[in-house]
Amino acid sequence: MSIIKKIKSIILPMRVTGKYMVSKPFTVMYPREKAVVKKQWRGLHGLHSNKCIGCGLCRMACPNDCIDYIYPEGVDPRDRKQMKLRRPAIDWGHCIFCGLCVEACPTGAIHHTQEYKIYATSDSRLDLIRTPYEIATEDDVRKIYDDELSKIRELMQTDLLEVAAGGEWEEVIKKLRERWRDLWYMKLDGKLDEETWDKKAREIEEIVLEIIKQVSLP
Amino acid sequence: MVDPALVIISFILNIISETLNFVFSILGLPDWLYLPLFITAITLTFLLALVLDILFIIWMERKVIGRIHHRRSITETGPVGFLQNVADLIKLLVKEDMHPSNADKFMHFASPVLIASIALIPAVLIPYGPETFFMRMNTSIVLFYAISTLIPGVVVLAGWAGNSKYSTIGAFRAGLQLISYEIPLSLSILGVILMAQSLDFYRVIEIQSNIWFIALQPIGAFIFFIVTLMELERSPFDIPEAEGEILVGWRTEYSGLKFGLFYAAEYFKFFIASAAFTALFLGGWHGPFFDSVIYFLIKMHIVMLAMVWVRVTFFRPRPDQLIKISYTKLIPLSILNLLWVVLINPFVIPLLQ
Ligand code: SF4
Ligand code: SF4
Repeated sequence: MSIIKKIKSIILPMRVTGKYMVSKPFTVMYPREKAVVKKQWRGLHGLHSNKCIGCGLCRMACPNDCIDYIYPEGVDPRDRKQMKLRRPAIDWGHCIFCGLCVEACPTGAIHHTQEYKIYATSDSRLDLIRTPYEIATEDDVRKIYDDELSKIRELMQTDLLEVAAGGEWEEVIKKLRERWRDLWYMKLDGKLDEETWDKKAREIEEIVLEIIKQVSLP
Repeated sequence: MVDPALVIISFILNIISETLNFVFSILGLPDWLYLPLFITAITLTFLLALVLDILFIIWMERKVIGRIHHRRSITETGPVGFLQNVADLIKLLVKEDMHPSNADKFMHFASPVLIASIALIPAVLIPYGPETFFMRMNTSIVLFYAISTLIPGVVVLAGWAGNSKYSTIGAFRAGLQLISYEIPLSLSILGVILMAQSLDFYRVIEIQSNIWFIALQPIGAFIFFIVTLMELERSPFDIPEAEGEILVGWRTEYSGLKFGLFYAAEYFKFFIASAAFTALFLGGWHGPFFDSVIYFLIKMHIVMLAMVWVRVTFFRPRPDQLIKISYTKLIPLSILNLLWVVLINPFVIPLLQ
């Protein structure tokens, strides 16, 4: 009996390693081969802009405060009826890819894509903050910004910038943003003409950009 | 049917002799130089083939181990990583040569050379094919193992010359391994010798033309396989090296080319031991259609693959467990094998003739 057991104890491990010997390796030659991710992989976010109803649940679900909303041009955020037009912007620099926002979304507008490469094309922290136009899945909504200033103009509506800057700069940007918002509301009310608004807003945005660059990625 | 390997070998020999003739006619060298030069050229060719084969073996070993670990192993240098070993070799060659300040300098230099050359000598005693062998002698098996037994002695010297506690422990463990494998090794070979009624490798292979000895004495083959692993200091019996316990045992203080020589000696031994297993138990060059050195090489590489396979699968026993395995399991089993051989010999020998 014990002899059979001993022979088995030799043969069984050999069988296991033998099976592995002819099986394919798990390693993916990453830069050359694309890594295959599972269906349930929580990759970078995408947004079906036409499905989103601007309900605000994704922001409430997020444990890290990395979602805030952006209104389209010319829409007054003080009008509660226009709320359905706002779309989420995400700061991937703070996101932990927990998937709670996706779970909370009632329409399936915000979702995880299969994309796993999160990279910055410059050394700017701004690269990791994505506006809804950048993560939109529909081609007609998608937008690529020519320069950082035009992206900052969109992001001035959100609190993502001050959270990203953090520390002592948080208060500074908050104040700048309040000034910016006053100007914006004045422009929406028609008290400010297009040119002056552009000039004044641009001044504030340049300061904010300067701060963001200071706290940039190394 | 013509043996294709023989055609290739005679072609190579022709090239060598033609080149030598050409050189002699140009330089006008004296005739008595011809034979030594011819022998040197053949030896160098054989060594080149051996080194190429060993590069292949190391590559195969790394690849197989990688696959069993679900890795890819070497892939980057050359096609399927084949040139990685060449790169490693070059790295070893250009490394600085060092020795411990209080070590025995002479032995520290001599032992790598001694081991590499002693490990290579038995290669000439094995007949690889019916017509391709270096020499035939009546007692080649005895000489083969007599030479192989020298190696642990040099290992003890090398470990002592390392002048560190790890190499000394490793050296003593090598001695301990020697006393545990020598007896079952001789007993398992004795089975083959009794059945073939000869001490000659050539005769042992010749007599296996109908049936291989592994079928007639499987226990003997099993013991011989295990004992070969012990002799080669390969996992799971790499007790003298025992990475993770005593660094690399008796080789701890050796670097650069010295380490390279030890490494080469290890693979020479690997090559020769699997050749011996093929000759003693797997019928050597016998195969379907024709008898050829090709069959010998194929069988030999399968034996190597099996050894690598065993290496990845099992863990290392403690030194005391090794002695226990050897004295309470392997020796009784090999005596049993001997009894079995004596019992079936009267019926088997007429069949073998
Ligand atoms: S995945 Fe990112 S954005 Fe969504 S809830 Fe989690 S932290 Fe917030
Ligand atoms: S993405 Fe979903 S949860 Fe977020 S505002 Fe739009 S509909 Fe609501």
